[in-house]
Amino acid sequence: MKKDIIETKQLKKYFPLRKGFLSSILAREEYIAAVDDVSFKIIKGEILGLVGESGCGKTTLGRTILRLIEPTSGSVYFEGKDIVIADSEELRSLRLYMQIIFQDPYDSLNPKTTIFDMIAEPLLIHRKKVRNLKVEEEVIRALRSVDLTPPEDFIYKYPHELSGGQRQRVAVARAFILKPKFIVADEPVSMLDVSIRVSILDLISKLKKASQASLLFITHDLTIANYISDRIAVMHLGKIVEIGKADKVTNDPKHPYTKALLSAILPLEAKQKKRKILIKGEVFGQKAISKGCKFYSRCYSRMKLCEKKEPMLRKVGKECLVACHFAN
Amino acid sequence: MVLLEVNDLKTYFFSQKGVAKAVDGVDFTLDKGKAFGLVGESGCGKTTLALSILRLILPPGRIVEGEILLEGKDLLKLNESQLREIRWKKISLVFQSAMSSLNPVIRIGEQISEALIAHENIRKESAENKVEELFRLVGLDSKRMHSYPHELSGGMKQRALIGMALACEPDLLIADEPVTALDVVIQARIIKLLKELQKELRLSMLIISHNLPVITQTCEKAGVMYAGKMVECADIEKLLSNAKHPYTIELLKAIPDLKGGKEHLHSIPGDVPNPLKFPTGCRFHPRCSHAMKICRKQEPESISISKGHLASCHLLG
Repeated sequence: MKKDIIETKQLKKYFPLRKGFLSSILAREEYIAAVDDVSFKIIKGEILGLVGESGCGKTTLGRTILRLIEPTSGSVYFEGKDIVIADSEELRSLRLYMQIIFQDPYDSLNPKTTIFDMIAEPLLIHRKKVRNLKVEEEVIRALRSVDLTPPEDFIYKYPHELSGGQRQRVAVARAFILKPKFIVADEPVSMLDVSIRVSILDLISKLKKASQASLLFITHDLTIANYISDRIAVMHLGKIVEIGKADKVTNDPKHPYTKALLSAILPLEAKQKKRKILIKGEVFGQKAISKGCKFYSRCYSRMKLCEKKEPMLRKVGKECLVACHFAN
Repeated sequence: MVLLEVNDLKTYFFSQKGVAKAVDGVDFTLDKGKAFGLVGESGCGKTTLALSILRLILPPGRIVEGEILLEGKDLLKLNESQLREIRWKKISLVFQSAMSSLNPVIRIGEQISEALIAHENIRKESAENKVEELFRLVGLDSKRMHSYPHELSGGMKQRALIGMALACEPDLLIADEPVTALDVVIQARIIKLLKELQKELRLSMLIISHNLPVITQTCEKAGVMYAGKMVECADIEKLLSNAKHPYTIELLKAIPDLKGGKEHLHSIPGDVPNPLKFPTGCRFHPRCSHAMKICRKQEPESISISKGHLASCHLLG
């Protein structure tokens, strides 16, 4: 029986839209539903790819799961424990097991801190819980594990002395140093050159395997998600619209949005036979709507029913959940 | 007909630590109405090359040598006021990162009409009409003229920037990483827009990207840059089917797709070398799996593979 490491139940995060003073008195408050009633599981030891356009709520979902953002409602279970109701003491001890890798290695590393201090920091914060702590040894081991060798060359450097790929390796070393059980990787390669992306992806998979951690891997690029993930969840406007095995989702997509995302991938070959599905509109700044399918206005195969009734995630085929009335 | 011809261009940066040879002897030609792509990793000199063409290199950088011929006229011999006639009217640039190249406190429409008023001798009203026209051209709602940059999404900002670059009807549009910060859906749309504009306006384009599919989808010809050099240059079809330089071959293998499975993919080991101390001989040799003795010592010459297909590698000699 496969165990879950993370389970969310009806998780919601609404951001209020700021408005002028008068309209805030007169009118009802408006919200952007960044995460809108999301229930899903991350199985122990897997990499779950979370895919969607910018602004669809991927990052908010990732951060809400770690409670870096407080959810509006719903629960997040980490190994059966609801972290939404955990007090700050409990949360801190849980954080030992949860980490995040950010998108931009140029922004996420403190420019005034040496690589040593940066990687050692999590160890020192949680020093009470780590037995027989030998900080230096650990940091050197961590640098080796991310192929920044020889470690002595890197240990006293500052981020500006490293290339983008090396910086992201530092961020990866930092995320893995406490041997976490769960990591959110938020677009960890999208700022990097294509030529080194694969090496960072391979590194993350390798460390994940070695530490038996589970990952939520956020990306807008289905090719990358397909490369690294066991399963893929596709998100549109705060909702998960399709979730299933990676190769199933990419080779046999069921939801029209997933199909559109796949079709948007730029092929290498100059001449293309396949017709592109180009969807209209953007998810940028869309307000919460109360009824019907949220993809309705952009969908190229919509029906009358879609406008009235919101589709729920349901099983389509084996191990695949799709939120579309007409998927089969 | 040749629109732009770059001959043996060298742009160096003179820093306290030494001389960084960011662009070190690059040649290429761009035909009228065609699109040329520049591809390579960060730090290989693509952006410096683009900025050199517009003479936007600031000290400590300097164009040391070479020619940049626009319809036969050498841009390197022009003075500032002559350059003003070239910039925006003949050649315009869409800068990297749409997010940060717009002024956040000025409405989009105003920013564009400002450029128009500065370069074309027109009044404010007609400038506004022109902006409206430009917005239509790049597929933006003209109401967006009155928005501030933060009110637009990344894709809309990129469209606005492309519109701005087209304001003075240039012959050549240089787009530096036009889709890099955008998600796949928006990427596909911006690429489509660029292609349509090229056709409609008979525009020549120089497109810079580290991502090969962006280039193959927009350009007829491409040059692969590595450490300040152009290591291979060919038509897109030839580059895809018959790449000769090991670096090009490795770049092609680094691109994930959905069909090929997970095994054939790999990264190029190592990093782009520090421009202050490029390796001797062939600059790619420390990362090249075919490196021979001669590669360490002697810089390879550019060899003609077939018509319009050049590559610099000792393996080919």
